[in-house]
Amino acid sequence: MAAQVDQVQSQFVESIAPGGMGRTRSFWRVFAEKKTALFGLVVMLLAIAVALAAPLLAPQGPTHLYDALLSPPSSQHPFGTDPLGRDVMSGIVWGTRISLLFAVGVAGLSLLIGVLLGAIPGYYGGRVDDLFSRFFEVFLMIPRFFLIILVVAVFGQNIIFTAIVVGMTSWVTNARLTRAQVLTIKERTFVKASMATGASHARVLFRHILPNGLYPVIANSSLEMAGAIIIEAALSFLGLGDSNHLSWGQLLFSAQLHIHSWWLALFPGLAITLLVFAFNLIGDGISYAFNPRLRGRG
Amino acid sequence: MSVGRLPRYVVRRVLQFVPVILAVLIFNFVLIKIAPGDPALTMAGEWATKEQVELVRQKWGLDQPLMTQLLRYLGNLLGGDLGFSYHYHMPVLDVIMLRLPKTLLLVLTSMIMGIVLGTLIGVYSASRYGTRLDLVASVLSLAFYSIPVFWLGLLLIIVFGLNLKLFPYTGYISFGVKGAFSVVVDVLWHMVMPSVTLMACLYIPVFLRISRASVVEVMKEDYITTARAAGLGERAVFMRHALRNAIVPVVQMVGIWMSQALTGVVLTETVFSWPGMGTLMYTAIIMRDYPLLMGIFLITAVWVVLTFLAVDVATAYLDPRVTYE
Repeated sequence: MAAQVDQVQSQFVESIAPGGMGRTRSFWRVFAEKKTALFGLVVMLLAIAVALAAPLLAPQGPTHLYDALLSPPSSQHPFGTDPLGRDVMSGIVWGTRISLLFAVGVAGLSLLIGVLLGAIPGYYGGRVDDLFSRFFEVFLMIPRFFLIILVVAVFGQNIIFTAIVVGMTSWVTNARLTRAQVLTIKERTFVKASMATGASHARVLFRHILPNGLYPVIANSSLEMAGAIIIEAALSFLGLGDSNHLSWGQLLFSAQLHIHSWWLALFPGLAITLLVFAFNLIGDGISYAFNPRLRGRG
Repeated sequence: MSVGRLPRYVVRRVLQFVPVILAVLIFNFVLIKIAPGDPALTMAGEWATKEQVELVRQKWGLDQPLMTQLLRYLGNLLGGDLGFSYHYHMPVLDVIMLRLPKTLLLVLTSMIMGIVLGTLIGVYSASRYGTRLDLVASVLSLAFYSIPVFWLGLLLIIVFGLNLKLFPYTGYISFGVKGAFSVVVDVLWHMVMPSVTLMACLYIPVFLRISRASVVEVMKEDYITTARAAGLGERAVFMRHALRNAIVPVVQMVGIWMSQALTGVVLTETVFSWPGMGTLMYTAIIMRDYPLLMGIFLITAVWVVLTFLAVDVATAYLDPRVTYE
């Protein structure tokens, strides 16, 4: 009986909700309309492919020591070798895994915290909203990059720990976006209808409001992945990277000490820029596809 | 917003800043408490003698109960005592004050040029909305924004410093330069590459995008249609109505980047060994000079808070609709 009521209620609510298959399909059409976003998507998929195929592409691994030290790009080492004889291309191939995992971890954690902390003030409003909004404002003003540097410098350089620290300091934008979305969507007819049928707070929030309002957060997550890759590289560049995991930033860190060997700097930096660019383009494309205001011609 | 209400609003805003500074202070305090090892040793430095460690323990009251310690810490700060940098053998505040002007010189120069160039290109791009040129500007700005500053810095050093030997790439002044004019020229010469890096990766893309987006947004407003319907020429609509209203988001963006002036340059300064706050932070990390790190963190937070206040006042002045109630 309870299940039946639940089903009827869902059908009723979904019939007036803006979601459903139709929207997903039109999202892809509009997203694909933007060639730049498609380019970003292709680059991201390529990066994922490289990360998965690392053992095939660079079977010797990133730390294999070749005899050629500091060798410029050649047919054997297309991106050259570093002072220890490690192949730069292998380093980049294997580093893709670390950069991608780091980015996904940071964005995922930030999304989780941000959506939860943003949904509460948006849903309840009033004093709760005031309190949370003040808290967001205060958090936003704390110099985030220094905070990360300080914590990593004091507590050691482990990449998982770093990802957690970065994720825990980057949720504010997600929270503010979620709050704003929940605030407007909860006034819509289909949400009122759901409340009227006696759905619980959690059900209204997680089944009806959040799925319909998450797109700015998804777009922001793509931008956050871009930011995370840069932050990881920056920390490594400052000597605060995890030396057990050869990331793209770690490769640049060693490039700094051997500045006459230009290939050490050029290729890892290109890899970072390309992937960051891709995530930025995808984020742009998602906002474009979901936000009709950005599409209308002046 | 009437000018008469400004003071009350400022007071309210200032009260909001207290928790920010307090949060940073308590964070600093807790960080040292829970850092691995003896806090007195952490504060005094790895190479401190036994007597020096004891001195630190007494001065910060590290043998007292926790609350007393926190109060003592706050008391020291209120007296302007941010601690002692064991690496520089100087009070933390003095070290920071030596470096701050050099950072501001680099950041403000680059930012002003970046704002002007970025906004000009952005507005022009918006006036050609939807054309090929507009698309190129848009994509290129995002591409440059994706470049890590330290990487572009390294490449510029390799190409223009090491190989072409066009520009100096370390420090902010050559050794032995004398005479006011030569000094100014020499410093400007040293600033070329760090400035270009900052402008290319941060300021120009950011201000290009925000000014373009905000002009495009304004052009869709009803009052623009009204102005057109009233028979105003396209040029007059654009100059008189669009630009004026598009400026608020740009000003807010200026504020955001001003607030990040000290954090945003850490990497650029490090690459070019520019002796500002960024390289100071780098040295403090390498030397594990915790009092200095905490001092930099605090001063940066104060800077952020002050710039936010300035932006709010500027926004209220520019946009009469903003009331902050």
